[in-house]
Amino acid sequence: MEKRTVFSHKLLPYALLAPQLLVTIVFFYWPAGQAVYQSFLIQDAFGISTEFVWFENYRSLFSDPAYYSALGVTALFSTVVTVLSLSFALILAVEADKSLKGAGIYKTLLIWPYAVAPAVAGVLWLFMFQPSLGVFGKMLNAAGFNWNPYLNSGDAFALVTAAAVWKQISYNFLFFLAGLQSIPKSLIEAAAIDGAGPTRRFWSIVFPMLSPTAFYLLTVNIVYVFFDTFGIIHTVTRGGPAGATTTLVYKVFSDGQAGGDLGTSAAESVILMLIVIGLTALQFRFIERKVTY
Amino acid sequence: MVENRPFAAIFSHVVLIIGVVIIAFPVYLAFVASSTDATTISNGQLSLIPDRHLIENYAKVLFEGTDRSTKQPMIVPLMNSFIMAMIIAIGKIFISLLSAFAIVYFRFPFRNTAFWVIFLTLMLPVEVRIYPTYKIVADLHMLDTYAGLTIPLIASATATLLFRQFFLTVPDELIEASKIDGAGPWKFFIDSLLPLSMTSIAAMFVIQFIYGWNQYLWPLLITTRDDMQTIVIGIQKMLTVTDALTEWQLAMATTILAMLPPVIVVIAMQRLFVRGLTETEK
Amino acid sequence: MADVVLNLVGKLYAGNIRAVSDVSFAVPDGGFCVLVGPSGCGKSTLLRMIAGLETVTDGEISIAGRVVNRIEPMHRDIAMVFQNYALYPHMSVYDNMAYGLRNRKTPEAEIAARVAEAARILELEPYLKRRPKQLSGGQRQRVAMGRAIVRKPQVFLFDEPLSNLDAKLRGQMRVEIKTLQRQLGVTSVYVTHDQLEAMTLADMLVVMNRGRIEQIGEPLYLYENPATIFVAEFIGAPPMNMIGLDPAVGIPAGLSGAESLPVPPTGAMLGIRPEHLHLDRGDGERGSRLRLELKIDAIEAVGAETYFYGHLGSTGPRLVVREAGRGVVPTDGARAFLADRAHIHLFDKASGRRIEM
Repeated sequence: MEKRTVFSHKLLPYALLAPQLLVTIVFFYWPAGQAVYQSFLIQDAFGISTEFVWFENYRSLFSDPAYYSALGVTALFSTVVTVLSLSFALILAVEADKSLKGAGIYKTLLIWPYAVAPAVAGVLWLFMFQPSLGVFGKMLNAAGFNWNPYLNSGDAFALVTAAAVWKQISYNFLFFLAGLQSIPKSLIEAAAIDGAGPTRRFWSIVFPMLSPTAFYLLTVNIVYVFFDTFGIIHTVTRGGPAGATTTLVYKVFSDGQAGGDLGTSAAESVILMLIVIGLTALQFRFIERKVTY
Repeated sequence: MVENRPFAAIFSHVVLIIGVVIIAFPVYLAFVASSTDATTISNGQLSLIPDRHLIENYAKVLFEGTDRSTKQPMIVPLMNSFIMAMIIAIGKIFISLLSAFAIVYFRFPFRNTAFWVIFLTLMLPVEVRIYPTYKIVADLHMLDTYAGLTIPLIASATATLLFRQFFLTVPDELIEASKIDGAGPWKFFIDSLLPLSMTSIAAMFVIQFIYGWNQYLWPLLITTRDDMQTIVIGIQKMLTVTDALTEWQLAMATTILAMLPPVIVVIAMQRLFVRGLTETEK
Repeated sequence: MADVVLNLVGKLYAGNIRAVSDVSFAVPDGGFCVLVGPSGCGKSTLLRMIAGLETVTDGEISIAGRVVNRIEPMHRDIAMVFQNYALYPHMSVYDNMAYGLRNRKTPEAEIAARVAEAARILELEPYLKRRPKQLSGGQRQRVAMGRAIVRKPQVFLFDEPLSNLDAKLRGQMRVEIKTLQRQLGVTSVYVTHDQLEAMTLADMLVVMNRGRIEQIGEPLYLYENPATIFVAEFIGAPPMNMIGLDPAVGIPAGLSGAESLPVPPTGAMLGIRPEHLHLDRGDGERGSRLRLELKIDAIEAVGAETYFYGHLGSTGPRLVVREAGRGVVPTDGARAFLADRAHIHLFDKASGRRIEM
C-alpha cells in the first residue's frame, strides 16, 4: 500500500530517518557484525593476542556436552512453557468469552501479570517455593517430597517453568480472547441450529478459526521463552543446579561474563541469531498465509 | 449464548475464579510478606492475613534499605526505573514517528533500504548481541549513565511499523487538502498527523513504558554504581546473600514497589494497552 | 478573475499506463465546467492535475493566463472539495475553515469575518464549535464547501462531492452548489460520474471516455446532438435506444421507414431517445416517420409517465419507450410505435461517430 500523494523534498526525509538509523546502525548492526566477527576469533587467557580461527569456536561448541545440555534445556523449557501457558490461557479465554456479564472484569483481573517483570515473577515464585520458609516449599517437604530447587535439577526446572508460565498466561489470554470475540456469533448460532453441541462447536468451528492466533502465539511464546525468561532464571536459579536451567541465552551471558570467553560467547550469539531469524521467517510465512486466508 | 444452561455458566465462573486466584496468589503472598516482620518469615510462620508492619517495611526499604545485603535506599532505583522507562518510551515514540513519517509521506532514493534496515532489527534482540553492544557502550563512555541504559534500546522496529501502519490508513485526501490549504510537510505533521495519531501514540506509550521498566539483562550489565541501579535489579541484589540472611519482608516490599507502576499503567489504561499490544504484534 | 485552459494535456503513469491523452478545453472566467464519464475514464486524474496533486506529463495547464504545471497546489490559488470531504477530524468546524487562511498568514480578524460570512451563507453558524464527527453528512459537505469559499480562490475544484450523500440530499445540495457558484462567480471544475448531476450543473459539459474527450458543449446541445455512440448512451436516462443496421443483413424485423437512411457499408447504429417514441394509435398520418413494432415484456407506470420495455420485432434489440402521463394501459403483446425523423440519430458503427443527415 502506498500513498497517492506525497511531499517532495530532497533532504528532509533523510533528516527524519537519521535518529533511528543512527541508533540502529550503532547499536544493532555494528554489534551484530562484531558478534559474527568475534565468533571467528580466539583470545588467549590474558586478552593479549587474538587469532583468527575460522569455525574453531563453533567446532568446540558442538563438541561441548554443556552446550548440548543448554540446547536440550532450551528445547524442553520452551516446549513445556509454551504448551502449558497456551493451554491455560485458552481454557480461561474460552470461559471468559462465554461469560457475558463478567468478561470485562475477568479480563482486567487476568491481564495485569503482563506488566510484571520476568525477574519479579521469578522472585515471587522463589519466595513461595523456597524450601525452608516458602509457603509451598515447606508444604512439599512436609509431605515428604524432598523439595529443593537449589540442589535438585528437576525441582529447579519445575520452579522456573511455573514462574515463566504464570507470567505468560496473561499475554496469551488476551490474544485468545480477542480471537474468540472476533468470531462472528452468527457462525456459532448457525452451527447450533445445524445441531452441533457446545463441544462439537468448539472443535469444528471455534478452534479452526482460532488457529491463526494460536500459530502466531506459538512463535511469540517460543521467542519469549528463549529471551525474556533470562530474568527468571537469573533471579531464581542462576542456571543451576549443574546447568539444569541454563538456556542458550543464559549460557551466552555466563560464558561471556564469568569465563570471559568472548569467542565462544559470540559463536553462541550467532547461533541464537540464526534461530531468531528462522523463527521470524516462520512468523512471516504465517502472516502471508493469514492475508490470503 | 446459544444454550441456556445455568450449570454451564456456574462452571465457567468457577474456572475463571480459580484462574484469577492462581494468577493473583503469588502477588498476594508477597504483599502479606511485605507487611510482616523478619522472624515470622524466617520461622516459616507466614499467615495469609496481612500483618501490621506494612508501613514500617516500605518506609525502611524506600529510605534506608536492607540491613544485611545492599543497604541502599530503594527510592533511588525506583526513580531510575521511572526515568529509564520514560526515556525509552518517549524516545522510541519520537524517533519512530519521524521515521514512519519519512517512509510513508516521502519518495526518495533508498527508501526501501531504510525500511528494511529498520525492519530487520526485529531479528536482533539485545540478547544476541549483548557483549559487542556492551563494548560499544563502554567505548562511548556511556556505562552507568542514563544514555547508556536507554539509547541502545530506543530503536524500535515495532513502533515504527505501528505508526507506518497507522499513517497508511489516514485518507489520502487529508494530505491533499492540507497541501491545497498551504501546509508543508512539517505543518502537516504537526497540525494533522500528530493529533490524529494520539491514540496510537498513547497505546505505544503504555507498551513501551512497561518494556523499559521491566528491562533486566541490559541494566544488569551496564550499571555497576548503586545510584544507577533499577528497581528490578535492586530486588535481585537483595537476594544474593545466602537465603537465611535474605530479609524477605523487605525484598517482597521492593517486589511490590517494582510491580506497582507498570501494573497500574496496565489497569488504568487497559483499553490503550490492549490496543497497543494487539496492533503492534500482529 | 480566472479562466482555466488545458492544452493537449496528458498523463502517463509509471509503467507506461496512460490515464489521460490530448485533452484540450478552456473554461471561461466564472464558468461551471463538469467533467463526466464512467469510472476510470481519467476525469479525476485530470482534476487532480489541475489541482497540482498529480504531475502533468504532457501539455500545459494554465490558470488565469499563468502556466501552473510546476507550481505547488498551495500557490495555484485553488480550493478543492473532496469526495469524502477530507475534513480535519481533530479540528472544529471553525478551525477547518480557518486552517488554509492561517497557513497563508491571514490576520485573525479577517479570518473570523470570512468564516462568519461562509457560515452564514451555508447556514453553518450553530455548528462552528463542533467536530466533523458530530455533523451529519450534509453538514460535513457544507463545511467542505465552506473551507473552499473562505479562501476566495480563483478556481473551485469539486471531486465527486455529492456521491457520499443519499439521493434526496444529493438533489438538494446540487441546487445549492449551483446557486452558490452563480452567486460567487468563481470558475469551477466539477467531476462526477452521475450524468444527471452533470446535466443540471454544467454550463459546459466535457464527456470523457478512456482518457480522451468524447464531446464538449452545453448540456442540452450534447443531449440533442451527441457526437458519438458513447455520448448518446451515456447522457440521458433511460439511455438512448440503439438499433444496429447492417446493409449486408438488411432492415431488422419490426422496423419500417428506415430504408432511406444513409447507412454506410460498414453498418450503422440507429439511435432514438425513449421519449421520442410514441404509441401508434393508427389515427395520425404515418408520413415519413419510422415505425417500430415491439413485443412488450413489461410496463412501469410511475404516475407522470409510463415506461414500456420490449424487443424490436420479437427477438431484436431491447428498447424503452417513455410516454407522458398514464398513457393507455395495453395488454401484453405487440405494439407499434412511431418516431419523427427529426428525432433520430445515426452513428457510424465502425468509428462510433455521428452521421449528419
